[in-house]
Amino acid sequence: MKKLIYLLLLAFTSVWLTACTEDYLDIKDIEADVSVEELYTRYSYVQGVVWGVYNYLPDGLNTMMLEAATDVAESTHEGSASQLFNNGAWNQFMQPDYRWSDNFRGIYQANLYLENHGEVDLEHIKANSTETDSSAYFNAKLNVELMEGEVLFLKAYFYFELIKRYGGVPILEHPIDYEDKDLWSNIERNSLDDCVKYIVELCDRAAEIVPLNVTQNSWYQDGRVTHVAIKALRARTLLFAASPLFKEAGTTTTWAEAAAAAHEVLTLNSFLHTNYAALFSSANATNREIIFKRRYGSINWFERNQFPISFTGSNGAHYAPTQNFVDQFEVVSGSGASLTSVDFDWDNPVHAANPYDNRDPRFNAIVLHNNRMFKNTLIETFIGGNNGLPRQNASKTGYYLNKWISTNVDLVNNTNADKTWIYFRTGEFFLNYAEAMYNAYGAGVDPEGYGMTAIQAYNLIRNRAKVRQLLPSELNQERIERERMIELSFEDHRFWDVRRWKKGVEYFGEPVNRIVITKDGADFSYAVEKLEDRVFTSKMHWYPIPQSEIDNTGWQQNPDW
Amino acid sequence: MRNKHIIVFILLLVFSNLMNVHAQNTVSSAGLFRVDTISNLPSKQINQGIRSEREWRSTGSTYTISGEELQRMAVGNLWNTLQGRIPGLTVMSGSGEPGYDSPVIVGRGLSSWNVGANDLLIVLDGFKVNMAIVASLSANEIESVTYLRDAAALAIYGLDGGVGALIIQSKRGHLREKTQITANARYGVQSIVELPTVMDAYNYTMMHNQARQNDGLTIRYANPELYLGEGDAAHPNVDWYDEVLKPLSIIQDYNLSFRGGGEQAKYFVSMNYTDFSGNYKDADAIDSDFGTNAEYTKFNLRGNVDLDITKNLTVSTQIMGSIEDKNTPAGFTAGSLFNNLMGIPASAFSVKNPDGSWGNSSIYDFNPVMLLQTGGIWSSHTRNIQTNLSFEQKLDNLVPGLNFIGAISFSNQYIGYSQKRFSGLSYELLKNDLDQPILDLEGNYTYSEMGSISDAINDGLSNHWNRRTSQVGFNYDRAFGKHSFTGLLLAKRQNYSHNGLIYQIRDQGISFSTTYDYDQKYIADLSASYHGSADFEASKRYGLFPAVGLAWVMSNESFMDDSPVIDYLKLRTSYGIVGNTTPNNRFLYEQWATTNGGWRFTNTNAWHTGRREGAIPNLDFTWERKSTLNLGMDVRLLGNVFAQIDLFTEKRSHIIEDATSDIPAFTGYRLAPRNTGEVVNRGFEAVLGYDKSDGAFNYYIKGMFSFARNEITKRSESIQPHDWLYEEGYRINQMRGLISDGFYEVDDFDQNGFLREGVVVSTFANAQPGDMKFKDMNNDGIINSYDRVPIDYSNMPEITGGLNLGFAYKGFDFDAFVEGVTNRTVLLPFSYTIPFVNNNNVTAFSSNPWTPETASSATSPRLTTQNNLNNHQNTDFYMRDGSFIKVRSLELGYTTRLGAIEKMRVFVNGTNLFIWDKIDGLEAERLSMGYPLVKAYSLGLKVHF
Repeated sequence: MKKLIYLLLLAFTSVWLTACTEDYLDIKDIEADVSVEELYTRYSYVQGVVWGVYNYLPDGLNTMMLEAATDVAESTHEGSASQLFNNGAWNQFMQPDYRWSDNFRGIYQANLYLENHGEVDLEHIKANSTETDSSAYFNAKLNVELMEGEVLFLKAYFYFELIKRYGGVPILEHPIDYEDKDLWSNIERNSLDDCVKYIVELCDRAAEIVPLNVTQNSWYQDGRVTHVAIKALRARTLLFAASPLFKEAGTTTTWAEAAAAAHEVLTLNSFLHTNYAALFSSANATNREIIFKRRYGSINWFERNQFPISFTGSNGAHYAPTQNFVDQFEVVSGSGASLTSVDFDWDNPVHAANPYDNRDPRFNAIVLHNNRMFKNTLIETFIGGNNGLPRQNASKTGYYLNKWISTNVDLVNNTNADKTWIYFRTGEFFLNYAEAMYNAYGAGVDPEGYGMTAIQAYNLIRNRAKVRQLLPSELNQERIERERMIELSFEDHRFWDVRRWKKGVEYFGEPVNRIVITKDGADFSYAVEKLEDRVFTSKMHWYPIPQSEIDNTGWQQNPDW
Repeated sequence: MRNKHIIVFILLLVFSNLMNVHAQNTVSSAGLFRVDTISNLPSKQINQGIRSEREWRSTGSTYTISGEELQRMAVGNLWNTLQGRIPGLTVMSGSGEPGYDSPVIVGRGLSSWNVGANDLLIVLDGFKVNMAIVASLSANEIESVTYLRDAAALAIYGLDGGVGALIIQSKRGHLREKTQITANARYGVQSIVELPTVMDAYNYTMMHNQARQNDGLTIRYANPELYLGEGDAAHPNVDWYDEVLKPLSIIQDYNLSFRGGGEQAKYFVSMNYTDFSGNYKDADAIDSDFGTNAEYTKFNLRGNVDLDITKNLTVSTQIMGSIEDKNTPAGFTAGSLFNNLMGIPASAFSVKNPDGSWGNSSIYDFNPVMLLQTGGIWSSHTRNIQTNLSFEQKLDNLVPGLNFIGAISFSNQYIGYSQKRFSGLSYELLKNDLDQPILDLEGNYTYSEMGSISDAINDGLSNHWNRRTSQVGFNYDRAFGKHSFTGLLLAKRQNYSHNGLIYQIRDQGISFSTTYDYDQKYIADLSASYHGSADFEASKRYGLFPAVGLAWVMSNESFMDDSPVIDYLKLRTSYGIVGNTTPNNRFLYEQWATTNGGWRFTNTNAWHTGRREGAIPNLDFTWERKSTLNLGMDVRLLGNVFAQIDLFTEKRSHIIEDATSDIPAFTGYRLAPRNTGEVVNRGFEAVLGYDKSDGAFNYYIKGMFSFARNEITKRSESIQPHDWLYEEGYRINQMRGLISDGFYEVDDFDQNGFLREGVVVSTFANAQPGDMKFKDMNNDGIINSYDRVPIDYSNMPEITGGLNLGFAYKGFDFDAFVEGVTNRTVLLPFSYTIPFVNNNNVTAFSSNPWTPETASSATSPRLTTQNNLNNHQNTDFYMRDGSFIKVRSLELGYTTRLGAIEKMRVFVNGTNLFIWDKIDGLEAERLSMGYPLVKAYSLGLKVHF
């Protein structure tokens, strides 16, 4: 009997010992992480969510690689993604500019914010109001309203980035619940026209929320979305939608609509800074010509990539302007009232003898050519020169990039300079307006009474650049294309403009050229030679949808891919 | 460990003892225990960690080696004694650096691609520990090492046993009239196995000139012949390896142990001291405070005591502590040193300038001798401790055959460092474009000063962890006539924390096993573990890991009784499931908010951090699991021949991976890793040996062979244009690359230097004659990443073989062990194969480069100083067959009596002596990269009093 009692006691205590099992494995007693619920209720976290959505905007300085995939530039670095574009070795499996999932992630984050932003709790701010000052509370309340507008604009921007690459994509008004697999397994692409209309709709909704005078609130930080930025996105989208490539894919936007939208932007901001080069300097962030920008802070990695190779610390990853690009700049003579300019011509012995003299002033702002002083060093891109071939990692074209470069950066001492990328500036919208008006109504007429004809807008840009004004009869599509090529070079426009004009084969399928300079005593002799062949077939106007997406959705691929 | 548990623990102990004391006068239980009625059965106990079983009765696949075998290797890290000795266990040596030489150990090949997912369970004296603490032990204190391979042996470990287990047992005391005192001493001399060969200064400068000419650039060395022979101050010819390394270093080992016991207590006490020094030359030539040789010293102490407190209660305790000190020069890490010894050309600069100052160059900025002698000392200090206390209380008077057992264990490692770091000035001898020194007005050399003088002292924690285990349970051993049962029921709780870990790693569970045999012929073993871990969601924490083992001792059958050949034959099979948690994947079922980039606002460019919801959680988050089917046979023939064969097939499933390939990207989802990967692993182990130990001349020979091949059967991957681009269907870490097809020839180009039609175009660089040409596997005319195919094997050998032979005659004894591995492919390192790029040196690999004249017999591409991504691709041209055969140990000894000394043995030993491999110029195991491997010749003495 006693045996049994002891046995039971033994068994009982053993069970008791092992019975406290749940306790032992519950180790997360203190939560050291932020919960999803807190993310949307705490005011500072909710602001963080919005800043996180900004994060998905294109990284302009890094996507300048796309310029090297156009006839404007060639990358010195052989491993650059632009080489894949240029030798035609890209397709639905291998995409050198893979922005499909990043932009959709941005859309998903924007949607999550729009769905959850009503939950923010401002009570504690209200509680802190004093009898005389409740501005903190009202400002916070207004800020929450404005943030909705910001996110709508950002979502529209992401959609624009997607359609200009891929054509029609699925329109997602709300974030799709992961649990609802049937829903997201069966979504179809929307038509390009629907997407354009959706972007315009988002912009309109955003413009209603973010008023023009929002920047008068000192707490509305500089760099956030403004009313003008929203109108600018809208106008650019409509310009693209009216262009031949988009029309062919089914959009219904007319040039007239594009002109009206561009006009609206110009009524809000028509400031053109007098000095073209200053727009891209390290002090450009406060320039009134810039409508929407991205600040990089104080950096020097861009200069490390772009400085001519003879500078210690330069790493030879240049985007070198091509001879095709340099040939576009006109030769200027006279000044003031007698200012005139002609196209550059190699057959003209005066031009050919000193090809870099008296060119369009934007030439020196954008391009570094042979025999020019840069940071107290004479740049020699002739054969055997300090910055010319065959030196390892020297520019292959004979030119270096000067736009966006801050010359006060010292790579040896590792100093930095502020850099701010421009998404929208009024300069672009003058050209947008000119193109839309010209295609809608003609060069010299203004039937809607906007106050400016196509040729007038166009000439304003040329006037700022200090080249001659054109006559209305001289304005044509080719002129417009050329002015955009120069004015908006290295600002992530050329790659898309040529595509929307459906002129990829004409511009990107032709070989790019370089300049071969031979030094002979004190003289230079110049020869234009082919640098490399480029590959562009007409299917490449649109990107292929990534194959992994096609396999998961069953969509039809873009034509001919 | 909560206080109440300790109290309960003690109460249990007291209760059980009371019960037994009370029941002492009842019927004795003699006669109810089985006795091995049939002889010839191998009845040595195999220690399987939590349980142990007699060899003939075990249905699991295990292999045991004795501690004596580990003593055959003169190495500083205990893990380096195991290469090739256990079939199924692949031990790939780490670097040769004293103190940082832990090998990679893999059991039955790889079965998962996750970090930490192929780590074996290490059990020391019955408790789980980290690999690092075993490295500090001495071979003289180890009784045996057992490798548990299949589910029947591993299922009781539950979530710990998913890969395999190494059970290490230290020596225990035994009943002895007189305490046995053993002293061991070993003193050895080490030399480096093989270093890469680099060009001397003359050949380097000649080849550099040729490369510059190939690139259309001006040559840098106007007079290469100035570098011949010794060169001069401005044209040096420095053998960097020779300047920094000395040919011999010392390894020594001293051990004293006491072993014995009486009725009440049995003990084993051991002290050990090891000193393993490195090959840096004259490190303290200037001052021992400024420079140090690499050195590893360890001192360990162990006391194992087994007490018979009463007739029915035994308590054992093992207490072990060790201190390891590792010194390395603070001026560089071993990796960067050896990279630079290979990479700095002989012509770069002299060790010391003519004026006595340290030489240097602004391109390399690394004077190895200066850094060695004046850079300072990094000193790492490690303290290890393991204390175990266990008891066994016989409950025969309650239930005959039942024992109540329990144990607690505490182990801990602390690693701290202290560094004295000095830096000084060095001087670059200035030269002009014609490679002549720039002289000043008096005709003296001119210099440019480099570096600065500074000193810094810092110290702190490198790493520390501790583990606590407590367990309590019952075991049972009883026979009823021909039926015999043994069983185990154990409840265990483990706790592990280390620095940097917010939430402890905790698990607990109940292990159960029972083995039944009938008439010592038919054996059935059922084991299982119900084990849970805190990493998982509350309702999904526990899993059941069962295994079944069956064995048939065929030699005990009546029809085999008269067999003249077969002494012992056992067939066995097992099937079961074990689990595995990985350290980086915890709590994946939770979703928290996280940061998400940010944006700059305002004119101060202020950064505003973004936030977002975290990844969509894996609500079904669970452990990786492995199911294993094992077939085995153990046989003894003709008295002296023995063999063991094991065949296995395993499936590892629920492997954690990023499984987004079936989710369309337009959803924008980010997902936490899911348990969807699968790998299948198959192979076998075989041992065959002959052991004659009954005469004047005794000898033995034993061969071992193991093979394991894995294949990834399920992997979430996005669609690829070609079959060979998938990981699924190939082995883990499969070597991949482009297939080389000779070189581009002059004929492949037209007169303008562009490639002709029909010649394959490389997208990696603009090719030139002499660049590597690759096979266009998908026939699209271009070479890009789609032409990368799987090549041969992986870095982990599939086949390991070992051969152990020896003899004993008239006091002499001899033992040799040879290891061979094959089915292994290695990639020669970039720094060895690519000359000049990033100012690299030229090695023997590029001694026969492509030139238009040597085009047909060239063995490396054209020389160039430019970055040429085409020639830098992973390709079979740079891969080699990594098979090798190494003589791991060779020992000859002589034993004699000497006065009071019961037994004295002197011996000579060679460790890691010879290697045959298939790679020219490099040693196949580590490719001669990093701190090199050493071989050791030692002289030793073992004395038993």
